[in-house]
Amino acid sequence: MLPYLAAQFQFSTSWLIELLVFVALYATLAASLNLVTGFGGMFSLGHHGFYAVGAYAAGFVASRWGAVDPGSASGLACFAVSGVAAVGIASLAGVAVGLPCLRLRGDYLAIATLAFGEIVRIAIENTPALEGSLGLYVPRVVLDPTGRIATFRLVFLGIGVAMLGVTLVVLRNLLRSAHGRAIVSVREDEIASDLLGVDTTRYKLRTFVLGSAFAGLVGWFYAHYNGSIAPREFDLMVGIRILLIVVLGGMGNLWGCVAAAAVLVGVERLLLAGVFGETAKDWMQVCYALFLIVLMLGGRAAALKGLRFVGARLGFVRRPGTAS
Amino acid sequence: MSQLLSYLSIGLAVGAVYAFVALGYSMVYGVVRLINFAHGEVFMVGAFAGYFVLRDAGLDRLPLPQPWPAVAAYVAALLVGGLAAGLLAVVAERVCYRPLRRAPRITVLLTAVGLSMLLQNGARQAFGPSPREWPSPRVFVDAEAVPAPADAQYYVVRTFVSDRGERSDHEEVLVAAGATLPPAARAAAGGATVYRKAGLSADEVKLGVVGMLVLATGLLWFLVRRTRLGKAMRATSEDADAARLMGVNVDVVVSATFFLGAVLAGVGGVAYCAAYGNVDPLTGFLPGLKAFIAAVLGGIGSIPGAVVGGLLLGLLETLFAAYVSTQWRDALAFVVLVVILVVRPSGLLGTARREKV
Amino acid sequence: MRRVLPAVLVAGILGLAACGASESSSKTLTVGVLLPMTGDQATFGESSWNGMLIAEAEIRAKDPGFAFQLERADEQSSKELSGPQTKKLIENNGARIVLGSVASSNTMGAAIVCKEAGVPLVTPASTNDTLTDDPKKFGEMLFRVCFKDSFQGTMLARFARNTLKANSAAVLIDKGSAYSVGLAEQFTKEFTRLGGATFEEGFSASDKDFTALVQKVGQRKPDVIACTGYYGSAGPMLRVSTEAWKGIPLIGGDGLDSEKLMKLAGEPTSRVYFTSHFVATDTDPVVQRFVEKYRERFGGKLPDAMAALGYDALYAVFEAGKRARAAHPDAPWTSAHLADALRGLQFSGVTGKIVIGPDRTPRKEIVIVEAVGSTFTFVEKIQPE
Repeated sequence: MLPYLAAQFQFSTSWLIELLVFVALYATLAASLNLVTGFGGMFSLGHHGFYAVGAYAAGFVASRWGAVDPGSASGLACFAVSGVAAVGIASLAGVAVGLPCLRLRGDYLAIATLAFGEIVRIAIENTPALEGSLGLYVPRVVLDPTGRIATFRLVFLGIGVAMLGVTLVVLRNLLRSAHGRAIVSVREDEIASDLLGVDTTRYKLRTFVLGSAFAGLVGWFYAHYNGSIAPREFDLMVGIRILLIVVLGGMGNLWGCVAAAAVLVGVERLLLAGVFGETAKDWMQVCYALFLIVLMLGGRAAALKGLRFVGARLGFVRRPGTAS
Repeated sequence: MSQLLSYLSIGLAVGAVYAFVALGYSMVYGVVRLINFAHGEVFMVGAFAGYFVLRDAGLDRLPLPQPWPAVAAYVAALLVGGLAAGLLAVVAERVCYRPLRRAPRITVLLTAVGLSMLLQNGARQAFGPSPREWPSPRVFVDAEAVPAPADAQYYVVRTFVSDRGERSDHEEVLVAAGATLPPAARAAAGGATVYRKAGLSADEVKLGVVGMLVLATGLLWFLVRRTRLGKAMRATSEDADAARLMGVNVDVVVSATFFLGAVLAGVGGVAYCAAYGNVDPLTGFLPGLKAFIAAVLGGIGSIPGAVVGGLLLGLLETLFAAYVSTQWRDALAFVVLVVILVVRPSGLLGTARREKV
Repeated sequence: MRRVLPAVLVAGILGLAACGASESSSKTLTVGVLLPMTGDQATFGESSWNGMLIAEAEIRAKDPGFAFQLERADEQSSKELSGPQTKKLIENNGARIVLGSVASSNTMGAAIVCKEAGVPLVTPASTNDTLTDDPKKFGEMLFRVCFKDSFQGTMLARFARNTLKANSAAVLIDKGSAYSVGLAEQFTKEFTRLGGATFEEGFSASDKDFTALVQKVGQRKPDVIACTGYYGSAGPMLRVSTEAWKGIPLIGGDGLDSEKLMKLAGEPTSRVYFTSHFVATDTDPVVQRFVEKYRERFGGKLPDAMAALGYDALYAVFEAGKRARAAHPDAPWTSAHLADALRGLQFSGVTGKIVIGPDRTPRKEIVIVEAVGSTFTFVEKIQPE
């Protein structure tokens, strides 16, 4: 079925569960960016900055909470409080970035948000309290994974799916509401909306901050899942990955995010695990970039067709045309 | 006071490199309203091209009879670096940007980002991610000159040949000025030849870069103001459709703009890496970003703006690093960007554009 | 159709899991090796790996019954990948023990994964103290075959004060590296205890342009400059320091120990010294035998400290393996047995006699090396008290 598998590769349940965890994580991140870029029409290349802010807020709270038994009341309280901190501080960051920058259009906004993403990384690296590149250690507060990795990951899978579910539901309801209509109208034609009395700045800001809040939530999740965080884990490549998922899944298409996240994260994890051999892994970044360019030049439809073709060849997908 | 002057000279040199790259950004934006993210990587490719020229000219391996071949090699490196960068840019424009001329902004933006990642990672795969030392030139002096005269530093170069007959990298022993060769080296030197290093001093390099910038700006000004191509470029940047109606071949103008901007970036790349002594695939990322910020600072689309922005950013950065903090130096560039975008988005020398309803 | 695609993908992977092999042969010990094969610490990774290859060949010749295989993963000199790659080694390749990494920051990522998976981690070259001194964070499964920074920093400070007779020191710290921050701390502590004065400057490893920093430091005319980062930063610093640092010696830790150091440095006007675990010009016969073997296999190249440590690290695994096999003769390899065998392990390596103490770190000798041209000359060897 898959003639390319490396000989020494072993699948294990924990590896699989981790893959699903990261699918949920990236799907939520993509959904939060989709809100801002797909629905709101604001090109944000610095979304990973809010992800980082949330992760570090949560990590900082957890590391200063004091000695705690994983799973105890104090531990769970720490878990909850760090989550609130993550969302809160990421939202504040959203306001801080949004207020000056949302006046800018298109390319300029993209660059300004990119700059923000970089500033966050440099700031974290140079703040002693956050341990910089050494890595901030996030103590285990929900469950101690030592000796039971699969269980730990399963628990976090549950949390991750819940997080994704909540995000999708909230976003869907938001987009169906008056706010949703307003933001789409602003995206379509900002000047016209302005003339029609829509307070464009307020809606844009709200959308942007909401997007950053959700990104912060994912940051909290990641910090507790991983047990340690370092600035390199939130660099531009992460931002590109999220953007790629949004574009692949379809801007303005929430379920598309989930599907696209599954594909991207799945392929990446398989590559990282060495399934297709060591050289494939080295070329991963190059392929990403190529894929992005091809996607942009050829359009999403062509890329999906291509993916389906490859999937059919590998036996994953039934050939198009057959009943699905 | 002399410290301040020395910092100022460093800032000018760094700023000159930024200016070289910023010119490319500004010119391209002026003509096609596109922020060419991949410009930083073009800088890096130019630097690598120059590196290969110098390496294959044998600058660091074989004796050169007189000093001036080293100069010739450097000029060749600059030219080849510029040309390679220029060609790359033209190809990139033709393949990636031209089909998207009427596409929505985000598509073009993402393509540019993708192109930048492709070049960076492609270079990583092709050249390896580790930094490579920049070749430094040597001048043959005398086969027997031991002990070394007081005014120079000498190398003894020998090749190690293993028992299986494999040749290793050249091994070198540095002899301090005025000293004799250490006994072990003398014993091993046997019939080795002795060279004197002949690179440019740090100050000469700085002067060279700034000088090149002045020359390049002058040439560019002449091109834009006094030639037909320049006129076509200005026309296209004002109104591409009208220019086309007037018989300007917009495609050629765009390609030429990309080419020129990239040549400048490539030259800047060679100069930058020569000054710092190493080159690696990620060389272009941060300077590219900063050069972009410089272009915005000076007014994107404006040629004098790019030069002013570049020099100003270089100075600000160096003075900040010297008198405030070295660690936060990179953050300064980004803060400058945000400030200028918020306070005066058209930049210092740019004209404010009003959005027509 | 879009909803079917991800479901089918997941089903496909689950199906593979069901039919895929779940247990590797438990008679062969899989040793996971995590190293920076690419990136700015690539020379460290390459050297360590080469050293391990020499050890591998020797062990196979000495004891063919000891069945093991090396499985290597590249962390690309970044902490971002050291955790996931360690997970890959343990979960996807069935490693029961992991060797690696080099840079302390990256080893930290691997350490957390190993702690939670209950797999022992033997680092050849990570010298940061907290790795073994903070069991809450990194567990008790992390072992070293090299000395700690508290020892290295102290020795470096004594060298600066006693041999170089320095009264003031500039301490250049790579804020992005646990190694650099830790070493600088230890150096400063001892240097000030011995009566010297220090001042700090920070830099970032991704910098290329050190001219402003170099000027700033040179202007204050310290007696010695301690750069606690890696060769990838120290080299370029030296290159632009010919005026500003004329006559001021530069010292550093084992992070400077790389053939690329002087190549990147060009022709500095400062003398360059650093502390390390091993130097090929050491006349000790054990060292020379290793140097011979290395030169023969790798085309005349001289081994550096990382190669020697890689060699010793694999030998540590071998010795621990022998011990574990003696204690549990017919059992399959398990991480717990190997960890037990590592505690209190003693053997003679090419970097000295290695006795794993209660802090899971050996007390070993340290060498001081001077970098002259492309040669590393042996200055002195100091035994621990």
